[in-house]
Amino acid sequence: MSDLASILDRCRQGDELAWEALVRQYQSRVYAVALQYVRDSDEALDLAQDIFVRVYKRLETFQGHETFLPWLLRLSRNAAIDHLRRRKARPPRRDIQVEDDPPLADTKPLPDADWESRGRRQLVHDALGKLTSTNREMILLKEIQGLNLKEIAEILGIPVGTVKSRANRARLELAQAILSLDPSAGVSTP
Amino acid sequence: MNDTTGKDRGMPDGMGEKLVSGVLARTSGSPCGRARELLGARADAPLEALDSALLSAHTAHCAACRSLAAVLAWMPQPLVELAEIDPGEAFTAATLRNMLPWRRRAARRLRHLGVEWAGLMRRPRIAWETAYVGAAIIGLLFASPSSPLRNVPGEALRVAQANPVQAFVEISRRQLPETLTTWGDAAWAASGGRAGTAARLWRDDLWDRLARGWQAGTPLTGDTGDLGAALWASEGDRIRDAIGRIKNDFGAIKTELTSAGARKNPHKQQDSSGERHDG
Repeated sequence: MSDLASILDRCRQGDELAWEALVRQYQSRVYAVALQYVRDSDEALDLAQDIFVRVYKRLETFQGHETFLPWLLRLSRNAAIDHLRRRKARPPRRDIQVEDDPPLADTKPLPDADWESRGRRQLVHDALGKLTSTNREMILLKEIQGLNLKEIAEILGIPVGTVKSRANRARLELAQAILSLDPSAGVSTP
Repeated sequence: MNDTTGKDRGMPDGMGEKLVSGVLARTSGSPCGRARELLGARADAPLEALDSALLSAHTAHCAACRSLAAVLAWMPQPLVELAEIDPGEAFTAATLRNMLPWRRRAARRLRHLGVEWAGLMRRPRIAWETAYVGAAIIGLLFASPSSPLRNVPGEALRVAQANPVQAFVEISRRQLPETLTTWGDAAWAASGGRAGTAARLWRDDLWDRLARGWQAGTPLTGDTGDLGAALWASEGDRIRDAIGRIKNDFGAIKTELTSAGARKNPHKQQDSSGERHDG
């Protein structure tokens, strides 16, 4: 795969193949972000598509000196917030139970050794559903998507120091949520 | 500090723990808050040696903090794995398919815009509309009480009659470009785009070019400098034409307004032109 800057240039020129490549490259990430905001797999698919439409419309506004991932995450966050606002104004016909988080889809068969890893991933995903939206967003940006403090501060519009303290608090809250769902998760493994 | 493990040396089972809890309860309170603060910070950067030792000593005795430390130790891996979740085979195709209607709409809008623009430019009234809006802008520019150019017209008109280029120079020195931009944008918003388009074109194509030249700092004198001569050579006809149209359109607007006023309020017209009322 060519470098991202070239792909983005081609996308801006209207090259459909480049756009398809970009969608394929980032769809898992965008879907993961959407899922953390809406906590429903079908709704997350719709939101992820909306995010890509938004990316397509706004590719012109992406400046070359920016890093693509924070830009993409900022756009995704804004789209998710708009989506949640619309949902609040016009609730969907079926109720979305935050308490009953859907199992994470596994598209590849896993060897037995990965069962524990899969179980932990599901546990963390469920525990994220118990967090406040502020703490969940902090975990999403920092721990899951791996943005640095400065990038998060820019996306959220808050000082770096505040990001740092919120990130600590969010991490502890998540660990406690995990323990509340499965007390055995706190037993150290050799 | 030699021993931070706090072993209950020489005390019966559990007594040491009870003693520590009792003392802490009556003095500093539970140290778990501080321990959790360090546990959270440890995920970002290694702790100082002493903090690390104190934390280990605490977790050796506190089951709750020990569990928390264990979870915090394995938590980063599954979190990183959540960064990408495969939305399924059909997602790419569905996304690209859903983009099509939007792209078609955008292309259609662009085509319509082009057709509308071409139609607009073909209309016989476009020149008149351009001049009309230009005249309105100039009128507002000089007539508005808040206009910075309110005191200029007399002098400007006098100079304009003698030398139109000099007139533009004098006006531009009084921040004409900024004011024109404001009025041009206002016309754009007020007219819903169409008249504004004409105004903007007119402004961008003629006034801005002149203004940029003047603002570059080339001094223009009465007998005009090189820039003035060049501007006049390239734009003279258009300037003369624009001024001519403005002059004509002022007359047309005045006539139109007068006749519209007369149609709207014939009595007032009669009063104002007829006898004077007493009282």
